[in-house]
Amino acid sequence: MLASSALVLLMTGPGLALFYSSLVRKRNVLGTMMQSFVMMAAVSLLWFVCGYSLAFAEGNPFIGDLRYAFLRGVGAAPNAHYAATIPHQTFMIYQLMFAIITPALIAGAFADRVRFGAMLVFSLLWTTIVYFPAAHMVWGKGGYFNAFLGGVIPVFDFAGRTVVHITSGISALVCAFYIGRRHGYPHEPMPPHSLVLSFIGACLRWHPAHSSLRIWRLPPAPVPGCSPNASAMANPVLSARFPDPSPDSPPSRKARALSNPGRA
Amino acid sequence: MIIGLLAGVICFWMVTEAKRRFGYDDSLDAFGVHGIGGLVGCTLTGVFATRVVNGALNRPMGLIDGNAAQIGNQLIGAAAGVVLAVVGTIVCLKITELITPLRLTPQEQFEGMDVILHGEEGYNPES
Repeated sequence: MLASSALVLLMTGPGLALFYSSLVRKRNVLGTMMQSFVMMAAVSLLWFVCGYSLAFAEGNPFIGDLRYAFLRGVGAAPNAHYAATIPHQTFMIYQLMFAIITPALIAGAFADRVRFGAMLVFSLLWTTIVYFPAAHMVWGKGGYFNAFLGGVIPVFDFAGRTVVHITSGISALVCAFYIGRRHGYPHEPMPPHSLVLSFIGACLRWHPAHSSLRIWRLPPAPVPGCSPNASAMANPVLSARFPDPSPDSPPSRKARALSNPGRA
Repeated sequence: MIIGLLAGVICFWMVTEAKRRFGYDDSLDAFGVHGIGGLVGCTLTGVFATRVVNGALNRPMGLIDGNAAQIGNQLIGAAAGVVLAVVGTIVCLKITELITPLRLTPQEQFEGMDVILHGEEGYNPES
């Protein structure tokens, strides 16, 4: 699960950072990279302070309460509602990765023309006002649209279509209209400055999409009422792929070498 | 696969034709790809979701399971996402504008944000 989280983080930095920055003009490459990169730092802090709690704590059907603020009570013990066989903390980290990439996606709509400070303020506000309620409504326990944990209207969210893509995509359109066009658009040509970097960025976004979707598509765990993403995470098949080294089986040479790096 | 085919074709049309026709400048196609792809996918999940794949609910899920009403549920969910995103984004942009200017001036855009905001360039032709 942590390996999968790391892969999803790879989608933002360097995946999205390279992809977006390669598609702008040469003069904006650093600024565009920075817009993706800073989300990894800023949204992580926001997530630990209150974000995880607002999204996943039980509250009302629209927003979570603050019982997990500063990650209080989010430890090694599993949370049976979301993922019964992995630490609650691991589930929290996995979900953080999607909170990071979603605001970073919007930056594609106003690339080339928004100030860094404004982008940072906007993204933190947006994550709080739009993303956390959306995630709570669809994925949180008792959320209004949660099909698996007591929602009023059951909505199936396959791979974040509602929470990640609709919210970020629609917000991108609103930003594009509100902020206006780039200076010179559409009369001046604004070609991407490096399609080679786009290729690397696109691949770095493709690979994690495959691996995280594979987890999503595993058969559900025997925990009744689990949401599809959580049940997949709690799935015994996943843990079966990475068996604990059993004391009966002799450790392989490679494993011995790893445990004794001095002798290897 | 059907969802992927449809979403691929529709998103391509959005980023090539619709963007030009409506005249908005979504520089890197965040709306055309994610917004439209998300809406198409969310709606079609109401058609193709099946308990054969996810049996956690133990009841018919989408249209192919015989639960046509799920398409309506998906549309309500998508609509709620759209409304939340539109209202929330406008509120966020207004608040941000009170704190700091949003846009680079045309002159700053001409020089590029690397030099203006970060004080260095990505590629140095002299090194």
